[in-house]
Amino acid sequence: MTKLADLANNLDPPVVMFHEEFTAKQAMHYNIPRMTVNMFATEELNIALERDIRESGDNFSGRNSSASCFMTQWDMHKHYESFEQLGKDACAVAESGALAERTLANGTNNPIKYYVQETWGLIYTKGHATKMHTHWPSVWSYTYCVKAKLCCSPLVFPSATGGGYEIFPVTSQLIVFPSWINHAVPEHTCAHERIMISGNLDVIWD
Amino acid sequence: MGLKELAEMAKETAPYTELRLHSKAVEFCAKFPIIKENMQSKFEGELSLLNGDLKNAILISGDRQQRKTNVKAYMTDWFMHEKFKTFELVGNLAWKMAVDNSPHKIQFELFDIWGAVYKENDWTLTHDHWPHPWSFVYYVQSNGETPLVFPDASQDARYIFPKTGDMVLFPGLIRHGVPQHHSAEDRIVVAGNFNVSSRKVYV
Repeated sequence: MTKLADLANNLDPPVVMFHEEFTAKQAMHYNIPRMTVNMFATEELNIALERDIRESGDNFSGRNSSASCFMTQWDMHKHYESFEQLGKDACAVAESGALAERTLANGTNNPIKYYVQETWGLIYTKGHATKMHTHWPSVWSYTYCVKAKLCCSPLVFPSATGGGYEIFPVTSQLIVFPSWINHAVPEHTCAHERIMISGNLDVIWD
Repeated sequence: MGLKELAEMAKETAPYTELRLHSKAVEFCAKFPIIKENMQSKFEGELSLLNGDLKNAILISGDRQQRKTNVKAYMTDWFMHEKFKTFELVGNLAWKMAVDNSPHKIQFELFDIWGAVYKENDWTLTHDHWPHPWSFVYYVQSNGETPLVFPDASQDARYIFPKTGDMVLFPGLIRHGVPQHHSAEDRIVVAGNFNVSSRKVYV
């Protein structure tokens, strides 16, 4: 059984944006941009990110409701330059993604600017996983691979049509996706660490 | 990769006005809440007074958009709650619905709210309100003949035929539109969006 199929069989709650108690729901097919950027010249950045994650420490000790792995505090961009830099890169990618369809008074589309609402570091070791969840109501979310191998657990989007969509980690890869999409990480089965950064972007409202 | 390189990359893929048209779009099948409530019970028979005040405010404001927006009908400016208490009141009603129907405890604030009057043959292009987390429409006057249409929804949920006093709440990213209004009676609505003011962090 593939990791994705395995995950799909063990996920709780079902693949919905909101919890099941919502009274009125309609199924809709949506095309969602998933932007992946392989960043270059990131050796120094990756060294700094890993160092800062370890220095910050495990703030949750497995108590987080979604991620069972080592996890830093939420506001790393306020304390570490490396996280701040990565957040700016993620904003730049998100701003290239889509305009608001809302129009200005002259009828032109309204450009959107973002800021980092929160960002944190994660270290997965053998047995760690992240349950399916969303980052709604943030607008965009991102994940960046500091250190991992292709054999590591992928980031999976189980509600993508055709049986789900998965992205295997590549060092220095930045993935930006809409925050309301359900996503998860199946159990990490490798002996080595899988070190990631995650974050959420919100709109700077004029 | 620095910001300059990222900007170059962005140039290669011009910004899209709809998420679904992005060159790297992946198709998802997802469910979203679309919630309709009638406000009559909240006003103990005085809903007609509120609706009368809203109508007056919309008429006083005038047609400020001149059909340049997605709404091809008479439309006020975007920030009517700054001028009229009645609009603020409608925003508060919608705010309560948004809070009650969110999966997390989140503080929303009213970002904008406007009025529109559909006369015969007026309509609204299909559009969305992304990136607002919640959007709403309140029906000041509607005989239920012209629907609010969600073209991406399953067939049984695609059309809502709202009547006077109904409030419809839906995530801002959902595409919606209004077909041509074929009735001599004006269809008068108040619509708006929320944004997030502050919230508890989560994964």
